[in-house]
Amino acid sequence: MQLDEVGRAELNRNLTALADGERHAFDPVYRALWPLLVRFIAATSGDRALAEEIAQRAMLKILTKVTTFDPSRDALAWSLAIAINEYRSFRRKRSHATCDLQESAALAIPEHDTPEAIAMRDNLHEAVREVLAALRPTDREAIVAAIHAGPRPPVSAAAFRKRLQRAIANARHLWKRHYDDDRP
Amino acid sequence: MTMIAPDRFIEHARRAYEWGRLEHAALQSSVALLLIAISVAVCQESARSVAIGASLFALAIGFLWHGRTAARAAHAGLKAGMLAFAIPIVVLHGYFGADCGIMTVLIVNALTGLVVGILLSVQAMRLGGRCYAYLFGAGTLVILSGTLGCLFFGPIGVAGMVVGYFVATAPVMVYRGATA
Repeated sequence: MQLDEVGRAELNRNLTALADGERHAFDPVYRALWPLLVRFIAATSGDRALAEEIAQRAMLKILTKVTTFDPSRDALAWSLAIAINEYRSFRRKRSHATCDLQESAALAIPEHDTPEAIAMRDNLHEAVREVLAALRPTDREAIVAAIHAGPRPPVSAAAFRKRLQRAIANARHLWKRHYDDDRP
Repeated sequence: MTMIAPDRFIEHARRAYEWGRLEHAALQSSVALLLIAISVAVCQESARSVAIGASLFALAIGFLWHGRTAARAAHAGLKAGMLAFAIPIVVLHGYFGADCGIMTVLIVNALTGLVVGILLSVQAMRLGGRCYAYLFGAGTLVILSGTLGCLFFGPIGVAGMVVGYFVATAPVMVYRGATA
């Protein structure tokens, strides 16, 4: 970040004053930090528009937490650490949101009869049959009984639940081995 | 969170700063809630304990939120206040119990005020011209905390503590006034 030693020392002084309750240090801190945060996040993310949004979040977090700022620490490093955390948390949230979207899209098996939908359904059925065929007979029996509500093996309900849980875990494991992962 | 218009963002930032200070102040003042709970249990004067404790809590939050000398006074006042709260409870309730007379209450509380006053005066000496505000702010919190601890003994206990605190801090105030 482009901040010389004098600017850095001034930021340290102003942030310490702001942490102590000196309201007149607010504007200098804001003016010094804002361009630094935007440049830093833009350089990290490579997206200027996103950088401004994350910089806003980071600035709000910095100002909310400034009372806990330890004057023995470097103000710039402390602020940028908060900014990078905000950026990481934004990316994490966005990737979760994307995952949820992809998962729901993947779960929605096409029901119409276009050639693509038919091919997709056939592929999925084939994949499921392969995985079921590779399972141990007891696991296969438990899963088929649970799906079709058919006759259950002669065991107690609790033992069946446990067996079904184990069977699903094994099926997931096999699916992951054959098709990388069962979730996008 | 969506992006806030740049011209309005500075106001949001100011609000975030003030809210952050208030939140932090409330967290640090929460020790007053503990004192209220103990006072209610020991002194059995629930209404007065809650009223005085709430004043202590609100004042500590106000000082800490404001910052600067007031915040330093609040930090010191809450720490010293725990001493001023604990000594009357331990000595008067725990040791003397039913044999406790007015004279004993007066002496114990005056000594407590004196000890706490000396401790705060030593710290106030380092603050130069701001020592009046510091001693006044910290003293107010100490007296409120002490009052919570000796509600059972009435105004005489509080008066003893105020006198002790004043005797201990007066020399510092006079000295600072003379050298200012």
